[in-house]
Amino acid sequence: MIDKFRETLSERLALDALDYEVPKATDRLRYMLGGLTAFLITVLVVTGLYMAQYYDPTPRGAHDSVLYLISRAPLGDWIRSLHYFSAGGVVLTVTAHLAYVFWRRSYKKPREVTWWAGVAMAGIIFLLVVTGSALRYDQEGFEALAHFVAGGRLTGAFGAFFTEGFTPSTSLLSRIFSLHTSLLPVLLGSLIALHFWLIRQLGIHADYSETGIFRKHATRLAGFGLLLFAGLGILAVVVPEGIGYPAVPGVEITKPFWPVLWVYGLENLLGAWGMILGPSIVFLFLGLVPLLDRGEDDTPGRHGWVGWSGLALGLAIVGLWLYGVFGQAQQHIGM
Amino acid sequence: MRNGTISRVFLLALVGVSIAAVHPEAVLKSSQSAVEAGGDLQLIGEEFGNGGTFTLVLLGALNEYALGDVEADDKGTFSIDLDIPENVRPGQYQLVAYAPDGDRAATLDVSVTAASPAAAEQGHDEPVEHDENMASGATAEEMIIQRSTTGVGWGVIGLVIGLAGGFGLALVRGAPSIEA
Repeated sequence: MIDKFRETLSERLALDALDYEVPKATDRLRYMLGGLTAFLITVLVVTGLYMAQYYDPTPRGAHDSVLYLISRAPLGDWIRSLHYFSAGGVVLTVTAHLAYVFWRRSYKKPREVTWWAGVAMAGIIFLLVVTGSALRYDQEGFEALAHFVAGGRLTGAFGAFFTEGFTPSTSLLSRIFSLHTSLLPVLLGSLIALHFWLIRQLGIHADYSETGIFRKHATRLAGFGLLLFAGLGILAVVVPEGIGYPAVPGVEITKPFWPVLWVYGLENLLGAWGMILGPSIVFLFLGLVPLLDRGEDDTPGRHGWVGWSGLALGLAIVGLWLYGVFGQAQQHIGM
Repeated sequence: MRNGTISRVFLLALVGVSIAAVHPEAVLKSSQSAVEAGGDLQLIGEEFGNGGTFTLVLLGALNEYALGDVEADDKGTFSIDLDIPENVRPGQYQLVAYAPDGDRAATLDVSVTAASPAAAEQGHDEPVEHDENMASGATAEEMIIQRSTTGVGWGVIGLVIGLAGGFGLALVRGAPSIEA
């Protein structure tokens, strides 16, 4: 009965197309980090769609609507917490994926575009994290918005979108909401499609002397994804995400969402320019990696100075993150 | 068979017409889109049937405030200056006029802004319920809030987590290796 159903499903959905060869190494969890990222992005989309039904993206109604979601909407509190922990999970899996791919030098010819698509996705995920943290519109969210404005002013025409003067017809909060829920997800979805297509066409950067079937890899990946989901679901029950008090404008007393704390640490050192320079340097370096590390040799870990630079940058981020976590809260944008 | 279907459609249409007749397209209007807590909202009601008493309620995301009754004349209209209580929390609200049978006759979106200091100082025997942290300034602390999850909710969450964990484990253990 089950076999018959499986056969019918496989025929109707052309699942045989998934029976192509992949390296045996993809059995390992470290080769599933990208897939787990995609899985968590799906969780974020579903939970985000649910929350959007309750969210009021206006300065007057935003905080109340989040309170409503937590205190009255069916399962709203758990779904919001799941969204929060999945966002943190995506940051971890995408960082680990990027670091592993960098170590393996999988960005080398002919996979440069696959790498660039991945780096662009990491950048978009970073933007999704910061825009999402502003939407709660408590003190922390308000200060995140104030950072957008300050960053927008510092970068002139490039950052005009993030300033209140961009248009008087709608609030900055509404535009950040639309960025978080439409433009950035559409860009992310397109890049995921490109990334997957390139991986399918160019293959995985691993030893093909021992191979397995992709469908089995996907099944195993789905299993790990569901276990991760269950783990995050338990976390959302045990440590539900809270919300701060309604914002008082003109003060800067909170620290940002933990994935952004390394930028906060840099702001402690450089002031408001830290939020522009830090991410710019990191993503510029990542973008240049395939151009800097050229040549035929693709032995993992033998990048030369490019590898050492990447390691130094990684350690600097960890150091700044720790400084952001344990350092005193400081004023950066002169509110 | 066909006659039966036609009868049912006719019956449904009749019920629809009856509902529309009992609750016509009543409208609430105001020249103000925002009102200060403790201030007045000029409110006009039109097409409230043949008149009667309607109950006005301010519905917010967290609180609702009963604003009293209003009498529509036999043309179904009224015009009043509605007092907005001073303890209304600033935010986006829906002003709802309820018919005597409890149905929503009309709604109007209203923004309530914080009471001005002068208004807040005027004649309050009872202290207005407010948040200490808001009064004393900004804080990085989190709010203590009543969360929404009910017993059924916990059951659903438990089921979702259990199913995800169970299926996840089955898939991982069922496919220990990807070898063909």
